[in-house]
Parts: sequence; C-alpha cells; structure tokens
Amino acid sequence: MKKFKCNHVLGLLLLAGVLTGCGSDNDTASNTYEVTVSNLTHNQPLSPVGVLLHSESTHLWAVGSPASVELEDLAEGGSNAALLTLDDGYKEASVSGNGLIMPGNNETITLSTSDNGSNLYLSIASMLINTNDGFIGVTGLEISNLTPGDSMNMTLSVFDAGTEVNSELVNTIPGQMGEGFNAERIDSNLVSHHSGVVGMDDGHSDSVLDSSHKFDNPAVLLTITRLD
Amino acid sequence: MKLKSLVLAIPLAFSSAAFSQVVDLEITNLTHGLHFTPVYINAHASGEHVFQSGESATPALQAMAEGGDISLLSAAAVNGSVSSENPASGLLAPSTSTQVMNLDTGINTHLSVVAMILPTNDGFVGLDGWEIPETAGTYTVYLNAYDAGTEVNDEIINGMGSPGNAGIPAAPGGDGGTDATGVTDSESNSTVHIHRGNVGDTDTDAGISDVDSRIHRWLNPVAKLVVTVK
Repeated sequence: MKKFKCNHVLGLLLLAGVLTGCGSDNDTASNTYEVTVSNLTHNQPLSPVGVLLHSESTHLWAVGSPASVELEDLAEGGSNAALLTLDDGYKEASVSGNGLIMPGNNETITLSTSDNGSNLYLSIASMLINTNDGFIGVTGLEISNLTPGDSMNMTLSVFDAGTEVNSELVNTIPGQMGEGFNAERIDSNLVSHHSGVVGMDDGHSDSVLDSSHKFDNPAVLLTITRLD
Repeated sequence: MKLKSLVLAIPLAFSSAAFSQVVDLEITNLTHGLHFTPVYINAHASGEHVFQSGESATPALQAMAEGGDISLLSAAAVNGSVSSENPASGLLAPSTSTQVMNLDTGINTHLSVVAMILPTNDGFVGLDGWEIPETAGTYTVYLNAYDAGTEVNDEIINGMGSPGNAGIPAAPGGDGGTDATGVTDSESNSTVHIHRGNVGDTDTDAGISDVDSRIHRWLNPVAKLVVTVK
C-alpha cells in the first residue's frame, strides 16, 4: 500500500518534470526528524524530553487554558510518561529523551513516521526541575514544509502550568528532592508564561532555591532537522 | 490608447487596495500574576509613534503608564490614524486574551499597542510601530514590558494613579501588600526603556515593597499579539 502510494506520487512528479528520490529501495516511506534540545540555563536541569508528532494541529496546552493532568504530571514532577501516551487519534509518533539534559548540554532525539501525509506537527515538553511547575515546550508546531535536509530552529520561553503555586519551598521542588506530581491544584489553573524564580538570595528566605537557579527567557534552543 | 490607460490603472488599483487593510487582533496577557489596564491600539503612518525607547514619554503616555488612563492617548491620536480602545472592557487578567475584529486600518501601515501593567509604578506592555504585512495571513508578535521613565519604582501600593504622584494604583488580583517603606526613591533613566522588573518581597504588611516577589515579577515577553491580515 505504501509502496503503491510512493510510486504513484513519483509518477506524478515525473510527469511534472521533476526528478526525485522516493526511497525506492525501501518499502516503507518515512519521514525522519532529529530534534535537538539545548539547555541554555545556568542551573535548571531539564527533565527527560517528551517529543510527539501529530497529523493534525494538536495542542497539548494553551496559554489561558487549564493544563491537562498529563501536562501537570510533567510540569510538576518531570515525568513525560502520561503525556507521551496521550492519543487524540492523530498521533504519529512519541519518543522520550534518555534522561536529564543538564545546563550547557543538549540531546538529539530521532523520531520517524511512516505517514506520507502532507500535514505534520511537532510537540515537545520538558520540566525545569528546580521550579514548582515550570516547563519549556512547543506544541502544534507545523513542520510539514521541511524537506529532507532542511533545518529550523527557535528559542523557547518558560511556561508555568498554573497547577502548583510557586512557593519554592523545599518539599515542593523535585530537583531538590521535594514532591513531584500532586493532583491538587493550588494556583491559577491556567497555563501562562513563567515569572521566574525568586530564591533565598533575592529576599525569599523560605525558598530552597538560590541565585544559581534563576533563569531568563529564552531557556532552550530547539533545532529540528528533517533527515528523510 | 484607451486600453493602455486601463491596463495601467489596474496595478494602481491593486496597490491602493493593499494599503487599506482589515485586520483581526488577538492580544494575550502571557504573565502569571499581572493585570493589564485598558489596551490602546493605534494604526498609524510610518514615522509616527505612541512611544519610543530612549525618548521622553508624552504626557498622554505617562497618564496611561502611571494610571491606566488612555483618554489622553485617544485625544492625542494623529489625524488619519485609526484606534481601537479598551477591547477587553476593563482589565485584562493574567493568561487571558481579548480580540479586536475587523479593524480597518485605512491608509495606515504601522501598528502600536500599549497598556499599563499592574501592579507597577509606570510599567506598560508596548509595541512601537510594527509594520503591518501586506500579504494576507496570520502573524504573531511578542511584546515586552517597558518603563515610561516618569515615576520612581517605589513599589508602594497607595492608590495613586495620577501623573506626577508616586505610588501604584492597585494590585487587581487582591494579592498586594501594605505599609512598604519603598524600594527606591530615585529613577536615573527618565526616558522610555525596557522595564527592569519588579523587585517585590514576601512580606505583605511591611518590608520594602507592596509587590509580591513570588507573584508580581515577570520575564519578557509579557504579551502575545496575533494579527490576522485579511
């Protein structure tokens, strides 16, 4: 079926006078992407990144809307497991990063879809683990117009899931051995941008965080490359 | 001869049509704990400004930035410019959006947007003279927080919003403090500049600031503007 589709497309392209490869030695046509996440912060390790591809413009969150429980799980506790299992029927692929991405480091995650459809959208998310419920990400990003070899990059601001108040107390920050996910919602219950951390060195004497944990936007450089 | 002049007239007609653009606007307050006062939007000619970094604030801009009053900006609008005022019908709460539908920009090519940020002394979200694209489509612009440079950032919430009077009018979220001693009593840059941010403290009935450092700080950008050119 896939092969037929591929040949069919190739035929049309040849008719149009365009010479193109169509993975003719490969029965399964696929789109493969490399997603590189670079941590630009000083002391905010990033939780294992969740990366998803969708065939429709799926948004896993939106500023002004309540976070899903799956997003809350990631933003409060750094676990991407629930988010990666979310499937609205348009999910093409979902992959987890290998582990924490430390400040100054980066990780490249490769993922593929066999769908040859014309529409493809990327979502990624990761927690800043020395926050209450801060995360970086992009969702519903159209990457359909990348052709093999193309790259795009962008910098990302930090979001606040709005599910946990930014107390910065020792028992609430997973990066400081505090609690992760807690289903109770004690904040605005709306996703927004993050206001940054205050820390004990900046007048918040009860905070477990210090000046090393402060961050600014952007926090991440994201590079997306289509391989084939 | 007649035919030739008709042919020449067609491109002219198209180019003048391209200048009269109708746009939809969506403005989102991206912050976690700050309110915007009534938003003022002005479509104007290239070279006109509602505010400019490095220049002194006009009295109209000062009234907006210190007290959220956009009536002077409205009165000072350049002839021929097109304004939309207060689309949210009041405050724009954190993480919420407001829309302006079918704004006919007429002959105007550039867009400016301002709204005071609460609680601040004279902080405002601003867009200065963004060129409206001629090609139909959806465009996203991120906006930063500016300081009007007209008032000391003492961070004392005392109800004062009139120009020239120190203090912050209000913390609309009901999360401000009282009886602060004041963060500073001087302001060294009296021109419009990128706001250095609120300092705040965690003491609600004393301390240097009536602003809460855990709630009322921000990182840029503070607003998202989505412009749909029709």
